[in-house]
Amino acid sequence: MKVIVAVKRVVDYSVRIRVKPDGSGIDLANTKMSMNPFDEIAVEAAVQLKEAGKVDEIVVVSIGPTPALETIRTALAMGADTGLLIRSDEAIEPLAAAKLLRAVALEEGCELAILGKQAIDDDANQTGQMLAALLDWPQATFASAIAIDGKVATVTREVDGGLQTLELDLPAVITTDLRLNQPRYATLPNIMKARKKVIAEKTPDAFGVDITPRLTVLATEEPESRKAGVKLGSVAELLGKLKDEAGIL
Amino acid sequence: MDFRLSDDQLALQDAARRFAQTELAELAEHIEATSEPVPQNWLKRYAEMGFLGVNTATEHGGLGLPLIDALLVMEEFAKISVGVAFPVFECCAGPVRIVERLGDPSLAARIVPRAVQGDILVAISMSEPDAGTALTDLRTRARFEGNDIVLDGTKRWCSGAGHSGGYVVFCRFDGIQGAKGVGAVFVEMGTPGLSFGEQEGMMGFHGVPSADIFLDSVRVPKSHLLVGPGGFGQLMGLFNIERLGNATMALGVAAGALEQVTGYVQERQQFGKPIIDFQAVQLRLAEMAVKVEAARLLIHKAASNAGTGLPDLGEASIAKCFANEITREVCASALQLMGGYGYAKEYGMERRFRDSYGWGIAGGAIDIQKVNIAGHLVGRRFNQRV
Repeated sequence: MKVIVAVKRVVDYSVRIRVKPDGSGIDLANTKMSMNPFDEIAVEAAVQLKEAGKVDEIVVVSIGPTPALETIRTALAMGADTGLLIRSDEAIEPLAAAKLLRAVALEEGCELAILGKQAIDDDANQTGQMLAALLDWPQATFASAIAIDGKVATVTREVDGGLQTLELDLPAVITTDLRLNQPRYATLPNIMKARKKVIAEKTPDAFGVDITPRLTVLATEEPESRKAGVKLGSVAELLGKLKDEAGIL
Repeated sequence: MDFRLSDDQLALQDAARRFAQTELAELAEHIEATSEPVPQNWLKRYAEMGFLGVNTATEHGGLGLPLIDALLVMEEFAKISVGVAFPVFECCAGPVRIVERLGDPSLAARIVPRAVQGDILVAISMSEPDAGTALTDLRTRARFEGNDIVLDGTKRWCSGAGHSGGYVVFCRFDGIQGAKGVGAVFVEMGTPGLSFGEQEGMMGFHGVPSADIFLDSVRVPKSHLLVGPGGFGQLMGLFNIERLGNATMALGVAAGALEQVTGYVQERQQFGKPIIDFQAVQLRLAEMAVKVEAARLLIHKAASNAGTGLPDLGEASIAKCFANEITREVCASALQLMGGYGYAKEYGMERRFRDSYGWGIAGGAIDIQKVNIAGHLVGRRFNQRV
């Protein structure tokens, strides 16, 4: 079985985000970029399935500018087999991403798609769901455990009320949550091997997908800075504050 | 001239940084508190990641990359602590290189792959009670007896003593006086007649065991000969790799201090603003950054000119000398900027300060590097004995 995994190049989780002075967006100059952490979990999930003999080949796809090749190389170094960059310098909205991933999944004959539940740059949390709809495949989002048996996937999901377990007929779309696994570090030998692999490159046009943005960014602002807190000496004092100042009690 | 690292080097550096920063902080604290070296299970993890064989030849199970690539990895480890970085230093820049390049092929094929796999550490033993900077005064005797070499003597300040599986022991052959008589022999742990003194308590370098080594009619096969009499120059040529390793460890300590204090001065508020907003802090931080960057460039120049061969004595000495001096200055400045938090054990800067001191003492003191540099400059070797 072939699995498609999508990886996105995003601002590193440890970087402090800077808004451009004119409010037109985020300042990405000289900013450290990394693979979206949820996508790392997706790659790890696929590699574990391959190690368990449930998956034969892992196809990693990224949609973005040329430096996204590095993101694909990271996935290859973790254990993915082949990489494809759909090169675009435009911002890609979830629907465009889902259309492109659908095209690749069908072209490659994939029977499983594993995606991060969301990317930490726009936090949209839409691509996986849209991909499932476009392919007309069943979906299990926010996976915290995945088991594959023949043509059936059993996925545990983290939902508000606790854990929900779904059984899906393959082909299917699964999106990964934080606690699914702990992604491995790519070893130096694997990093060096991955650097020698050829990564295919295509453009959105090649798939006949229109990526014109449907959304307009009106403004980007810093969140309001939090006011300093106060330390209280006793529970009585806390109750007093909640009653008199906060008006909660 | 292009000073940028290649994409491959950036990938190696990033992998080392991620691993070191995410995984090693706790281990560093444990090592600092207990003075125990990096435990075996962690050595295996380092090995699985490939950190112990960056510049080891591929036929010995390494990646076969140039020295500079190993130094990039080593710096990231040394930023965390000397204790966690020491095995990388020993395997990539230290005595393993001597065994690999000068050892009998059968010895190298047996020992070097085990070092790459984290199954054996190899230590270098040069100094003696009466031979430090004047290394060619060393008296440990080696004599050939049939198919064996027999060693007798006492070695001092051996980093790794008692914990390493193999020792590169510098010794004097057949009573030949001066540098001409000095060579080196590989001795394995457990060889009859090999014993160790008490572990030294050091100002810094916790997790780097150090002790005397006693050799009492220690008998090893002739294939353990690394360098015989007349080969001292060859040994010292190879020692330029160790010099750059030492310089990189010093650099890593300084760079780690700079990273830590850069975060601190942006968070620490005094008089209602972060202390980075005071010009005195800005100037100090800039001076530290200039020193760290200059040390890094000197090391990278020497290593990059060496490729997979040997670094030049003059370039390696300049790099080591400068890195050894600035690491003390940078750590002292960082400690001062952190005030009470710098002086307190809990925040780690006092540990960096203590660790920074050792590098200008180990592997050839700062002053002797300067003598090398001056000699290189005027094309002479200064004889200290006359």
